Amino acid sequence: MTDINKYKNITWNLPLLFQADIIWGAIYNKIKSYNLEPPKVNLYGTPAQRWIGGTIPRVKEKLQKNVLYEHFKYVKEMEATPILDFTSTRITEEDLKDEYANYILDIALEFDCNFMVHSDFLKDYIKEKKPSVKIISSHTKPVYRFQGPNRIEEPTIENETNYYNKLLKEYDIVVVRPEYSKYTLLKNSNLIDDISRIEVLINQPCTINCPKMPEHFMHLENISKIPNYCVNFECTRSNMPPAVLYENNLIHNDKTINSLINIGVKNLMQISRQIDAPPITASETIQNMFNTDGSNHLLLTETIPHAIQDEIAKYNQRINKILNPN
Amino acid sequence: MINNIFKFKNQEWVLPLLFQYDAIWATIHNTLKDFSVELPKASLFGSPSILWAGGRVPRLYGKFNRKFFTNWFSYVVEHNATPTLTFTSTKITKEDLKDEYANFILDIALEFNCNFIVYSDILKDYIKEKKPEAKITASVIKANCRFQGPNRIEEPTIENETNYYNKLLKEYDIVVVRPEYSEKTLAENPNLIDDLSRIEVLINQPCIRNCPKMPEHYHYLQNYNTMPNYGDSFRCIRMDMESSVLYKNNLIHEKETVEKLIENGINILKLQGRGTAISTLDLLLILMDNIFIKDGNNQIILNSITDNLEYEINNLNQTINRQ
Repeated sequence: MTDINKYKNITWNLPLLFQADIIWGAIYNKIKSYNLEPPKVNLYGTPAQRWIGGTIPRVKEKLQKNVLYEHFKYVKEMEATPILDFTSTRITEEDLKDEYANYILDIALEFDCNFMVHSDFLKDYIKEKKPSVKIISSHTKPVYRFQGPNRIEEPTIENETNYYNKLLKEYDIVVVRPEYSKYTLLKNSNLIDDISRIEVLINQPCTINCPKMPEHFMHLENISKIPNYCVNFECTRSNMPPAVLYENNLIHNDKTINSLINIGVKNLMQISRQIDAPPITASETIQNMFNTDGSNHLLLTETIPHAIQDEIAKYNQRINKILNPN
Repeated sequence: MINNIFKFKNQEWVLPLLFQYDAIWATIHNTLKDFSVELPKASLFGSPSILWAGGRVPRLYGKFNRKFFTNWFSYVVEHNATPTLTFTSTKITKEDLKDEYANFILDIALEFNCNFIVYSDILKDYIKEKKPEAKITASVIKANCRFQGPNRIEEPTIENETNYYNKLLKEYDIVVVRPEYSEKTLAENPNLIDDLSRIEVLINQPCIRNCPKMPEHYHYLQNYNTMPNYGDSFRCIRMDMESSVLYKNNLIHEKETVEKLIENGINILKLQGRGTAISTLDLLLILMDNIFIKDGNNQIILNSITDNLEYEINNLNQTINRQ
């Protein structure tokens, strides 16, 4: 029987926190019920708050302290580390004073959560509160630096490598652009100072060096922050012929990922395409992480849809107990 | 040309979709066509609720008119698949062959060159008499009833089972073997079978090996064809088994086994459904896992398939209701 985990000794960073945590709950519980060992996993995301970046939050209402506590407890019970996605690209001094964002931050620090940020300003602010906390440099940082009409410099091997090495001095983990991991990192891994702290985003369907990516993030951030925000944006991929899309994307194949792991990469990241369709998100999450042939197909692909429903029911019961203790 | 998207090099897929989840195949067909991917042959099997239908709870109850069936069969054929009627009732009598509605559907199916899966030899002969060139598959339930359960006719030894399939090959166009047979005997001794090209292998049955309750389970499900509110209960053995035991005791073929079977000469792979309560999306995801390699660029195509499903479900509803 094939080993259930596609890759060994990897930490996965999954786009599920406050979005679809129950997907990982369902997968984790299923794997454990078969006496198998799940991989190491972080869940990233955030409820709606001032420091949010390009994630459309599912949790829009303000959360009570006991609900936040219970949620973080739930995630930790699945042996996952919550990573708060504080990837706003335009944090000001004023933003740092935001009461609700700080309230989430303080509870997250209590639970030893990690953080993903774009703003160096915010990074310093969090580190000052708790120097031991782990902070990931968001993949939006190199995107803004190297892509789009307002890019700061061209993404040459030298420029981009120097940039990541600089970020490695300031952040605990650095997410690189998929263009870099797919086309540069393998041949030039010796140029990176500490490859074990590099994180690779493996399933971005975007076109290579898309010039509209920073603009896309901006719109996503605005949707979360500006009420009734009207988006006037057309993705580069919208009108591309299928055959072109097939070749021009940033999805890493097994061979590339295995090669990256062989040269020392220890952190892999996934994005979510359809967070509003949990079966699709679950299926894509599973296919990237696990071998689903033979009996593994039965364990995962077939049982997870039911398991998700069970997990939703259990989670809701749990939260209801907190909200209505009598 | 994209040619590395299929997990296996078989020439035909037999899929549990007819009258239930046909939009799944249509979505796969249309999306792959957009990407200029050549598809293998596909047969979609199933049946509305009629007297001759077998052990699958139907989604289509009630009687429908000619236009309904011609629309439906046309839809399947337009998407390059062959409708395959599962007339797999295990208790067909001579009297049952006269059933008006069943014959009405049969006649339309024959017009559309549909294929058939049957259990009953007398039904097979009846269909062949109407249209000698109609392709008829011997249902796997024939072998299940012969070799499993308290009323089995003989023990499933290699010799007994091989002889049985070779006998069926003389009478039927295609023969579905038990997964217990294909995963072991057929993979290791393909030369025992007279014509491998007409053997169909069921690769995703989650049942336990040689389950003694399988014939009973089938008969239980069969009752739903004529009694939609059939209330009797049946408890599958698997429900009381530990997950870790089920993980090792099931009939889902490993990838290497299927590859070996194809290397040996098997062309036709079958996928079993998962009941009628499963959502179309969930079944699509299960089938995709069996059919496609989900690596790298292929994800672009597979993502498109899941994205296109809802549109195709609406399209199917409009098509079958056209007057």
